Amino acid sequence: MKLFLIARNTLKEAIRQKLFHFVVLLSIGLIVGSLFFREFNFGVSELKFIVDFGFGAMTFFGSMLAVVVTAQLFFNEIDSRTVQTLLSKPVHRAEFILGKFLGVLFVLLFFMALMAISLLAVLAFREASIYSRISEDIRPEGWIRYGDVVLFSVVQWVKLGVISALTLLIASFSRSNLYSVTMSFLLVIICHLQYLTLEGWSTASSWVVKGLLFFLSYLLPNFQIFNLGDWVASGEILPCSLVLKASAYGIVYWIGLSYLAVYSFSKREI
Amino acid sequence: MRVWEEVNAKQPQLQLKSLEGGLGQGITIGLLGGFRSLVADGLWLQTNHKWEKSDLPATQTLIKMVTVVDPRPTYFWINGSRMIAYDMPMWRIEAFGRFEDVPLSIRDRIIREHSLLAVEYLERALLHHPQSSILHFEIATLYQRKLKDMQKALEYYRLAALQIDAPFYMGGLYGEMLRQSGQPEKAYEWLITLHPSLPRDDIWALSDLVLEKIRELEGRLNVSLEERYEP
Amino acid sequence: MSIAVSIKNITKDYSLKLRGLKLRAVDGLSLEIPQGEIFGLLGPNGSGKSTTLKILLGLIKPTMGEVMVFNSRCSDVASRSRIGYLPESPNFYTYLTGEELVSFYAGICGVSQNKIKESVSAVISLVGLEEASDRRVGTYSKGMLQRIGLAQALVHDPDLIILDEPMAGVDPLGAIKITKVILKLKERGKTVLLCTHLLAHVEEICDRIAILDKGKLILEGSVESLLRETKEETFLVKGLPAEAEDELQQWLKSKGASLTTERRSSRNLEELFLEKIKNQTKGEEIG
Repeated sequence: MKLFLIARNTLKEAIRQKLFHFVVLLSIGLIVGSLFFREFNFGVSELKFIVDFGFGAMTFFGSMLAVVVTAQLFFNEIDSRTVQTLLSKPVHRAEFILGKFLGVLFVLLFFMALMAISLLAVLAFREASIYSRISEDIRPEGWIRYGDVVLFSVVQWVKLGVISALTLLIASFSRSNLYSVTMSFLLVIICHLQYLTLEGWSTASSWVVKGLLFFLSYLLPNFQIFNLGDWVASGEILPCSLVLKASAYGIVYWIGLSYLAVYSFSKREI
Repeated sequence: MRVWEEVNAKQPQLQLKSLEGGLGQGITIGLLGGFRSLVADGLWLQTNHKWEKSDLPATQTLIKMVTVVDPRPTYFWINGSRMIAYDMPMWRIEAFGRFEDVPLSIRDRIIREHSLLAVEYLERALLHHPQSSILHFEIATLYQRKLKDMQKALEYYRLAALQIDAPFYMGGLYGEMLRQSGQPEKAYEWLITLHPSLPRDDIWALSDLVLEKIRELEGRLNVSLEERYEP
Repeated sequence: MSIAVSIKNITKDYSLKLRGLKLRAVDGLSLEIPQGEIFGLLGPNGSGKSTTLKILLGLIKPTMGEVMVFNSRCSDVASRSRIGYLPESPNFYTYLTGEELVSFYAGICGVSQNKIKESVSAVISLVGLEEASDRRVGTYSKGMLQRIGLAQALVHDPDLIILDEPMAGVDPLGAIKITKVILKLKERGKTVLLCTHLLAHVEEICDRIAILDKGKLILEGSVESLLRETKEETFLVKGLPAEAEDELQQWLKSKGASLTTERRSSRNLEELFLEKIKNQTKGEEIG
């Protein structure tokens, strides 16, 4: 119950932030801006471009939002000392951290829903427009699967949740917002390249290096696992089993990283 | 780990060495970071921009770069090969002067050169899409129209028609190409094998037209009534 | 008498990040706060008052020692359900209205859903913020923030109320209101721990005080006993003629006492201010 009160309060605070409004408007603007691809007359392939562009905007701005909003919401409490008032109540530190995390998850869900709706609207509009120029008999059927766009958005939301949990972990022991944001962005880049440690591990000759790379490959999440946009953009069916596995992978990291954040925050002196 | 294997299988090997120096560090990190599709799309937009300006060296470089970054969409291969085979020769010819004023031998040499480049480009595409009917068909068209090599063209038309994703018309077209190239017996054999697989209720399968062609060939080859094809 | 807060030999060291150097903020502090009393915790800046409060509230851990609140360890989260805390210069969520803020904290403190509205309304009325309760906290003045802070500290009817500089930024009228609230809490058997620099108020309302300096307890006891160090008493006399003054002094001498100070009584600034404000208010009502 307290968890949801803190989460709801976090959500209220987040959607009032100017940064949130700016990122949402910019992302929607970019997705709608993909309408400019019609100038190139790519035909049906234009839909692939719109999907790639839309997914890119979701991922890039979503990641930015996940890091900055999480850090900002956490440090607002610390800097304004509202955390002291809150923790002087019968609130476990775990409830505070998990409440913040849950609140940010709702914010990111709201963001992804807006992005998905914008992208689907643009796709539907362009598909209708392109198809109106092609005879009904030879139209390629359901070239972009709208259901898969929604599934992809869900998987990206899980990924953003992992980024948020990572940021919360950094923030739980860091002394400044700037440090948390910088470190988190660096970690996001590293996690996107994490698959190279997997490849490096198998080819490394030294046992020490092998061991280190093996450890890193499990410690850090592999963000490439969430990279399922290629199925959607190429018109293939996105396997549900893969969506479930990627989501489960992400949720395991949600739990692990937030547990570490709770542990770290419990040692922090307010 | 299994999830990663499944996702990784969808991603072709990234040939970063062949892109060395061609892309900035930021784009390289973006490539490594899983934004290949987006980077390729961006490069394709640049390609279009250079193509509009008839910038041959830049268009040529970018066409190759796009398909190195992301070889998965056949769209890049098809349109890239068309730029190489149909547009670039015209740019080079126009560099000499008006099309009509340039000697035929020079024009033919340039067109041939670029057609062979386009075929080479599409053969590389087949390494990534070995079962693509459209790529085989594109090569066949180049051999037929640009390189005037009917034998090779027929071979690729046949391969195009045999692929799983081949639209119905490719089968009929191959048969017609055989007939036009003076091989009515082969055309007849092919069409009577093809016809049973064509759905009668799909107008684009052209089942009736193929049957018409079969009857024509039966007449030409003097096939007896008893041996004629029964649909 | 049962003990609300028991502080046993607590020490708090802060690392100065230089090898081996530490700052000792609290040094072997022991004290007991009986239930139902108003206890004043005094000391100059840097004396360890805030650190002591933070330890009591479980925000930081003591390096050594133990603190019990109503016989529960202060580190137990459950012990805080009986504590209400008003921080110094409080900051709250500016985007919430006064009512939303107090409701939020009521929910956090476990006030049941069907009682929240009633409790919130009661404390807001107690601190005199009925008219401003639907405004965002971000629009509040410093004094209003103190009062809404008091409201959130009291909404769950705690047994121990910790007030850190409750009068800071509050006008004299507001200060009197807060004082009345504190005295009312005592009447209801609540224990109040008051941290303040306003010694006049401490003298007026506290039962017991403790004075800290450089992290150590230097004085503790009831206000009455601590202040009655001299055998002097003050009598205010009205209407004594000048010629009778000598007679008064003689009489005192005969009783073994002496007149040490003679001073014409005058109002203090606070009395004058209150009189004027009250008159102004009366005048407006009549007008």
